[in-house]
Amino acid sequence: MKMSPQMQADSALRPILEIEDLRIAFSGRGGESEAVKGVSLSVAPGEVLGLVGESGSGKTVTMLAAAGLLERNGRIAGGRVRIAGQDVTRASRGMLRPIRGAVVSMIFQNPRAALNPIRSVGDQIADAIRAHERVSKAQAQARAVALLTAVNFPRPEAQARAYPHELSGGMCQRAMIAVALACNPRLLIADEPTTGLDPTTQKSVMDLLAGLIADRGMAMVLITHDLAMAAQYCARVAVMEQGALVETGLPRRIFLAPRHPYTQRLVAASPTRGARIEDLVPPGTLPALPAAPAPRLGRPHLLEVIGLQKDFGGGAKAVDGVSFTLNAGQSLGLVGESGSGKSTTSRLVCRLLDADAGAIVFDGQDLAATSERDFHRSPRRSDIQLVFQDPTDSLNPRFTARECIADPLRRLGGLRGRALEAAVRETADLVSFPQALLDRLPHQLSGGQKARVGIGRAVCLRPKLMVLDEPTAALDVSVQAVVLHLLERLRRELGMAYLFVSHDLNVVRMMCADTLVMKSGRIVEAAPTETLFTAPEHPYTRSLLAAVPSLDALQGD
Amino acid sequence: MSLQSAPRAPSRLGSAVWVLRQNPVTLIALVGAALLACIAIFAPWIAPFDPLASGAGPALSPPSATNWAGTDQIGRDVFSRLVWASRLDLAIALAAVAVSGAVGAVIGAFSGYAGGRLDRVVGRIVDVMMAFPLFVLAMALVAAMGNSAVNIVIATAIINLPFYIRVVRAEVNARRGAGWVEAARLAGASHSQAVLRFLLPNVLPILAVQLSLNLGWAIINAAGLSFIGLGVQPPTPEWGIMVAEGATYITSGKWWLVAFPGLALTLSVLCFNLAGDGLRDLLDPRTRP
Amino acid sequence: MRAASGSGAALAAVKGVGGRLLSALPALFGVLALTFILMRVLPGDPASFFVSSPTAGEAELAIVRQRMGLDHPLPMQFLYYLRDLATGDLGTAMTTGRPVADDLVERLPASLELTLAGLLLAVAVAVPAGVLAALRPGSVFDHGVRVLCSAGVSLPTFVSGLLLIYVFYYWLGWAPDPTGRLDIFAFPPETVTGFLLIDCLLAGDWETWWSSLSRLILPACTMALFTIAPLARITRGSMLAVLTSDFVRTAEAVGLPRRKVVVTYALRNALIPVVTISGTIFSTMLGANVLVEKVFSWPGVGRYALDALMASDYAPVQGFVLLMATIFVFVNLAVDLLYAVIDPRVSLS
Repeated sequence: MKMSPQMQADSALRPILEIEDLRIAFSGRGGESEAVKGVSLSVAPGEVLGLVGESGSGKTVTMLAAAGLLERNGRIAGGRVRIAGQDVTRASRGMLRPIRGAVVSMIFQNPRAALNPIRSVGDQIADAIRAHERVSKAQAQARAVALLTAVNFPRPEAQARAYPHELSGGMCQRAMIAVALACNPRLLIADEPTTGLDPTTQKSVMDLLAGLIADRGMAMVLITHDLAMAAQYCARVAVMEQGALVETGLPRRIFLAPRHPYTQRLVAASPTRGARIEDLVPPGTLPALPAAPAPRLGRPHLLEVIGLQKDFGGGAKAVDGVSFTLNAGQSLGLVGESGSGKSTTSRLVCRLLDADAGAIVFDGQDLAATSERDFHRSPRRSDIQLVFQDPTDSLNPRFTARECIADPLRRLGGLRGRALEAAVRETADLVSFPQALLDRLPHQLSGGQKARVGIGRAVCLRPKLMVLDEPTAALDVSVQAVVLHLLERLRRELGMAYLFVSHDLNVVRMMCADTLVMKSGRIVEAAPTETLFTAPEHPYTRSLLAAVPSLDALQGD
Repeated sequence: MSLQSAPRAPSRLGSAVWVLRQNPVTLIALVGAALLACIAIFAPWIAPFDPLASGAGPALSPPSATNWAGTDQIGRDVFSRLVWASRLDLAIALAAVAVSGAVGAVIGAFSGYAGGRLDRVVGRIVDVMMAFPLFVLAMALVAAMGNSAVNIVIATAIINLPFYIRVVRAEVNARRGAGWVEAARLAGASHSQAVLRFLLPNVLPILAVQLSLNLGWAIINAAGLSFIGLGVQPPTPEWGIMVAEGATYITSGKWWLVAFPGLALTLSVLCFNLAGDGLRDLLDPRTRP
Repeated sequence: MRAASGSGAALAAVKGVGGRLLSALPALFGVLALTFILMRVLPGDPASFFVSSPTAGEAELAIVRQRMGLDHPLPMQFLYYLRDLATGDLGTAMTTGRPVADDLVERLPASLELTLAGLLLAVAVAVPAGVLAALRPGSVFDHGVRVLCSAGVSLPTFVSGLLLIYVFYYWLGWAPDPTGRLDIFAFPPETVTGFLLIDCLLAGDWETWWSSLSRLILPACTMALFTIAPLARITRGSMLAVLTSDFVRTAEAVGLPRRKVVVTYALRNALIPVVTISGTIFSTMLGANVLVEKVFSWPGVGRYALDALMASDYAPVQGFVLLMATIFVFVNLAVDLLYAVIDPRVSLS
């Protein structure tokens, strides 16, 4: 894009991105629907703007449209987009190409899928360079290696020849950052760049990104659903809901004194350091929690796990000598990153997997004596149940909500006919699932409703022990708040013990009285939750805590 | 806001009608398939002449008012033979596909669920079977077992088997780690029950598509085997045999002997293929409005 | 291509190829066992299948019986069978009176020439059609390609061959009569490869070259016709999937030129499944060979086996099945290796 000196001087002052009353419509089976309804925002040169919203807010679609990358069934129905002063709303691909990569660049979530699987990362960076600058192949390769060094690759020369499948998720994301920054664009759009990465990796990637942006004087739009991350890294925050922009302002103001009701709900629902479950939802919207039962300590324990071992044969053991105890009515958190063995432990405790060694003593009986193949016949089957992470994945696509809840009641509870129907209705009421929706299929339900069906299915037989495998990780923040509230209410009312597996430390802090930290198949620290958070002993626990972005940094000063 | 319910769910029939209206091609294909079935069932009433009797007209005469598809070398009415042949071809194809579909689905389901070495071995065997020139295998089988319609069914069933095993195995494999399968086991189902009662019904739609697509392939195979002289023998009317008999006369310009059975074959297979494609859209619950 | 060191990579590659060869052996063994059992299942005295004529005397039958080890238990017979195969002894064909192995070797080039010509034609038409259809989704061209694919998959080979003969030979008179590879009055060139087109070129014999080409066209087109449909459909599907993938979106997002995106990023990825399917396609063509050779009186191995089968002469049939099996195993192996070379995600080991 050629600019005269006068234009260059002007452009230093004008916003790098201007979106005016943008409307975007998608054509689908039922006709056209508006995904974005008149959004206006602007980004100044060198500014970092956070674009925050839950699923369906239109935040990603808005930015894709700005970069001209809308899917085929989407179209810009109205409004204007200007990049560095140039109107690109109805620009053709030919007009956009020189701008992409050189003025505006974008990075996406799921970095491994966003890189060409049969081309080395060095070549992909070189491709980006040579698309905009006349340099030789050798020069482009050299610059690619320099960029890989800048994004903290440990061995840039050798790894430039690596393929995406040979790199970890975090390294793939860094490679993508290198590709995006190859031609020194003035604006970078980052679409949820840390989704799917472990907390410690998330922090290193975000710190890297923030550093590079600052060094080069670039502007950035950070699209995220994580309020705390937006607060930590952005100079200004814009909140979107259902295709409209509801509030904009400085992070401090937005989070300490939100004006719009949606923003208030969002801020309240985001777990912070000192939050309790009651704080997550506006008072009065949900029934009050019954009093927390006094914890019963000492023997006899409800669950005693002794020296659990499991090896899948991939080199390191998945679970290597795990031991802990759990009492009736107690809530125990199990925290770790991917590969720590927490999911395997939860499957072992639920008897969906057989351990190689160790004992699982439940209510005085060693469950490991029965193999997983036969455990479905054991009378203990109904005493231990599991709530899954992904509600979509955990409901049979061909079962209605009614059938999902009825299945365990029929098989393990032996109920039939009227008694069965009554039990299903009772369970639906227990988890606040509307009776009218019982005959719907999973794909006709929202995320929160599916989560309730999953919880209802687990709770209908009144188990003594519930294992919760990241039950709210796939849910929006506001939905998560309501579901956590429900889980806590159920625990107190029914006196169940919880084994709460999660990587989200703030959630664990709210829900669990005690916490275990796992790394590489071993428990590295076990302590009451408050102690763990205020005075962690193990270095790994400390790094884990440091990696969690939090809104508390805004409070004070 | 979090409890915002999805709009009213339309009935299964309602959404089926909706999808059909969007896809006129599928509708035509389904109608065509139904028509074919009718022709096969009501053949004795539809055919104007006796398919085995000569004297329906002068030998080797082109299509006319009396003989809509002409006559063959011994004066039999081609149209009547066409209509009667539909019975045999459809019956053979349906029987073969039904048998191999049922057997293949169960094998594939258990293999896909079990995983590990058993699954790998089954996968290897299936790959070998699939890549082998199946027609050659069918030839060898029919040669060994003898020339009859039943043996054609068995041979076609055997060479169809790997398709179903592979499809079901892949689908079950993809789903066996899903939460709802674990949930079924938590609700008290054994491994076998998980496979047969939970996984297989979920895979059924995809299997149905494969069955429909393979129906066309089975018809072509049966006709091909008859064409080279295996299986059904003349004077039984069968599309492949009719093409074989007409082949000798093509160089002297008697096109109707080959063209009409060829057309019948092509149209039938086309119907089943298009119906199979459309069925895939229909049965995927997520594409329902 | 890989980041490993030179000699280390070479060693791994050799190990990989060796490993794959070894894994092809069970498949081969399975086919051998299967044909063995099939031949024993046939009615009648197995020895009578392998004598030189239907009127062979008792003496010859006795010799054959002894060689086949028919008085020994079945497992021993299998060993004799393997020994015969290892020495290239596939028995004698009654219909020609010659060893089956010789007959097959003589006729194989004809079948291969036909299959390869068909494959080349199919690829040359189907792949560009599929790619172009994917680049212009929803256009008239795209719809046309999809309709033709559906129709093409539905048309049986033997019907299309016959109809081609009718149109181009009888009606238009462009093609020569469908009675084989060469005009009956022409002299074949000196046999170097067995491929007429190549041998004629080598001998400089233009007239015969043209004659054999004009006779090759119709059967090759017939072979190609039924392959074009699935090939185009798969190419189109693969290209469409790749064009909507995340990494193509990234390529667009950083402003790569259109040509680079379509060819280097999209096409190379899209062609990988097409290559892997070509192994299956080739073996389907080997099967269809039989039908096309019958229609066009082509002197290949398919027709040979077919004629033998009709005459209840089973030794050639067994030889044919074994030959086809061996060819397909090695073609699959080649495709497997090729796949490992073009896709860095697949390791050779």
